[in-house]
Amino acid sequence: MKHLQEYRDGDIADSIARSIHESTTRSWSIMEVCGGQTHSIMRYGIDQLIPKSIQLIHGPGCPVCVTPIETIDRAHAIAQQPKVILCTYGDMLRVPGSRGSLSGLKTQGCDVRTIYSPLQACQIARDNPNRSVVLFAIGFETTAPANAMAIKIAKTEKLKNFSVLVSHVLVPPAIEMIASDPTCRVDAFLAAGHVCAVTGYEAYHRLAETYRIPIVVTGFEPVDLLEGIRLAVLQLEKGQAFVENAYQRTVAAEGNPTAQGVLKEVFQVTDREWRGIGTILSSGYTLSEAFRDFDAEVRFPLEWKPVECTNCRAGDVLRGLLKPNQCAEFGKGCTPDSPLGAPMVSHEGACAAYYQFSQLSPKMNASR
Amino acid sequence: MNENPETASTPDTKSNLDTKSAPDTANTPDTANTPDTARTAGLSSWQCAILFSENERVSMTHGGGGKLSQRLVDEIFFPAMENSILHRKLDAALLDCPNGTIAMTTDSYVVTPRFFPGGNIAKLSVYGTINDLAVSGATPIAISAAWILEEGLLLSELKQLAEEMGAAAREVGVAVVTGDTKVVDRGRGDGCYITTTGIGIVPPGRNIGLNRICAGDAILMSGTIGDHGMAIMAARGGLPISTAIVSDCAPLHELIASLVRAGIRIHAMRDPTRGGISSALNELANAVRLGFVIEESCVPIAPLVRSACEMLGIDPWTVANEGKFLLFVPMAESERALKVLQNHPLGQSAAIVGRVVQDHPGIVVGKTPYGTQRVVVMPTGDSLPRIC
Amino acid sequence: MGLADFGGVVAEVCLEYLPDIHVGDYAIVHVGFAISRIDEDVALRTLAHFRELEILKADVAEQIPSVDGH
Ligand code: SF4
Repeated sequence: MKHLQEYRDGDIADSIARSIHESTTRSWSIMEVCGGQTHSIMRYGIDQLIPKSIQLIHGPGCPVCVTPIETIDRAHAIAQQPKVILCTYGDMLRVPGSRGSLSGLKTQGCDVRTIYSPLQACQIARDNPNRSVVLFAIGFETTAPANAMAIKIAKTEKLKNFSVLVSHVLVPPAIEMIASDPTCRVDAFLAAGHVCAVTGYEAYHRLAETYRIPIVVTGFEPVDLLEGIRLAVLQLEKGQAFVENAYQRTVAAEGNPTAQGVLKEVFQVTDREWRGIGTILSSGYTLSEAFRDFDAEVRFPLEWKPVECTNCRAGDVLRGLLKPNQCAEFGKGCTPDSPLGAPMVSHEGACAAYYQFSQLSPKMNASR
Repeated sequence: MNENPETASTPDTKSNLDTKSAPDTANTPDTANTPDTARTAGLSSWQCAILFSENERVSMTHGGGGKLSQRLVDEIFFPAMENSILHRKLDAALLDCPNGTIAMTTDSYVVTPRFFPGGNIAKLSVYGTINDLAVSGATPIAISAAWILEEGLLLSELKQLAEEMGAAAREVGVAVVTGDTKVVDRGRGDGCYITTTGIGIVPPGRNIGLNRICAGDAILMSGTIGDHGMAIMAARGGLPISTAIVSDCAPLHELIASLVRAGIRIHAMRDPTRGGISSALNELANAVRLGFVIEESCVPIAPLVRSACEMLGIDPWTVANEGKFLLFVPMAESERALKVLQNHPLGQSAAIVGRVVQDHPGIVVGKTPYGTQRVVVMPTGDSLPRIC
Repeated sequence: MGLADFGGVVAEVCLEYLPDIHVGDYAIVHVGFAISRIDEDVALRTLAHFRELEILKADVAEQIPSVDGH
């Protein structure tokens, strides 16, 4: 496909990798913020192409990983209500709450449906007027406009049987939380390209200045990722710290104003808890006043108290403070087959990714 | 209760006592056809099965051909029915008889929609069973067919499916020699499920099996991957996409026979159905305790399938095939085997995709075009669109 | 709504967020929504820039030790 294949070109990747090797004189830790980027890094072995002295830290950018257990439990409670159809993205199915996962609930007869687009949830609501359809709206600023549109449509069409469980999180506050931590090990950030495609990157200038940390807007293909890393390394080596766009074909500085407009209309910014990390101020969306009627949290109460697995160190892993294999449960109580925490669920979750490689070669794992 | 499937056009005469099992079957296409056994086995083997808990239930993932499918077999069915033949984990069981070896296999088909681009459930049920025999080195002789029909299925559709089955059987030169029909209450089935059992003969002297896979073997793939699964996914509706992807549903016995005729020393074969090549390769690597190295750029994928997977965020390596097989031959014969495959219409896009190594036993490693490597994991069994 | 061609796979895509998009444009699509138009000029320039790196590489290739991870 055009605009895709070119960015997977082995020769180009190779030359950028070489250029990184030439430029690197010291050890650097670079955090890729987005789970999609982590996925590409694992998928293509990008970490094996760059100098050993550059460490890639997998950031909190997997919306599934950071959705608080309370919200997951709430989704579970909702799915258990009679007549409810819970619509969710596939990533969420196996994430453990305090009483199992959505895929477990499905086996008990709950109607949980995986969707590709939130508009499918609207359609399900139209097709099933006697059922209550709840969209589990998770994701970053990339997914938020899509979910917002579904909510707008529901309002316009007066889809009374449609509601949303909103757990949207925002990237810049999370970057700030990590950067401002005195124990922060991150030297530079690769900002998530598709998030910036919506939001733009104006908000990052202040962060780069305040925390003296390079932020490079980066795409998802191997060439994009390597270019992001290259630009970050160049800044680091020169002692610079500014916002740079390595994903110019897709991301404009101002982002997508139309999408931002709809986001402002449907959502309002709120403090949000990030699983394992804690509450981050102004780091999430909740429904705005005009759309409150569609809030599933209001329609369905949660009747139990969520309990988090106490041994899971996911929060430390996601902040880059702990390597997954330093967690006591890693590979013992916690494996991809029976994950204790969300980062062990999907292949590119920080813990699962480590787990796969630790199987291949303990040595390789140690060197990462 | 056997009867010829042709009589299936009078289904209401066969309303029966077995209807309760239908919903379970719906969840696990291939393994749950003996639900009572499953229940007792589950309890008795519960102490040793660390991984599943007392109130765990069958999930769709158990039928997805990934890790959970394997666990269902390893932790529930195998312990309950322990025997040396089952233990060999072949696509078809090989039964030694006085005058040679008989191969036997069985498979259930629950695919929706029943008609899809490139095939239908009835055709698939014949080809699938033929393929299981063929990759075990057997020449198919006969198959049986058991139909589970849901009350309300149009007889005209049933007739059409029966005709499709008959035509497919004639095409591959085997007869459907026995059959059975059951009807379940409306809502307890999905229109129609089919279970086919096939037997074949392994000619004397033919020695094909997992035990023959050894370090230094070449791994070939007989054609493009993921066509069937993506065709089904697109045909199923629910996804707002339309594509011209056609299932690769086809009988492999001829293609395999051409390898045999050419004198290729086949070590082993496997048709990567549910769970795709990721699942099949992991299963094999694990069974033989050797490592596999796959050159990713060599794995043939049709551009349309690649695009559809890309768009939906699905790994084509985990998507089902119904007319392809993985072939293990000594490296020295790989080029010749490749030529034979490519000379047959069903093997035109065949490729040498990798090799068997002594290193990392049980682990499948993918070599990327960038010279890096990754671990190809056993899929979890749920090929689902994802957002991140 | 509009139709997007993903290398031969046609998908229904919501174009609400790209009011200026035209037939023949490329876009990033996420969960069924086009969220960003790909700027083809910039894409071409970026690729040209990468090719320069590649030429550079050819010049210095001999002095560079092999890439890690092989
Ligand atoms: S290894 Fe498991 S328990 Fe430990 S931090 Fe990761 S997900 Fe949590």
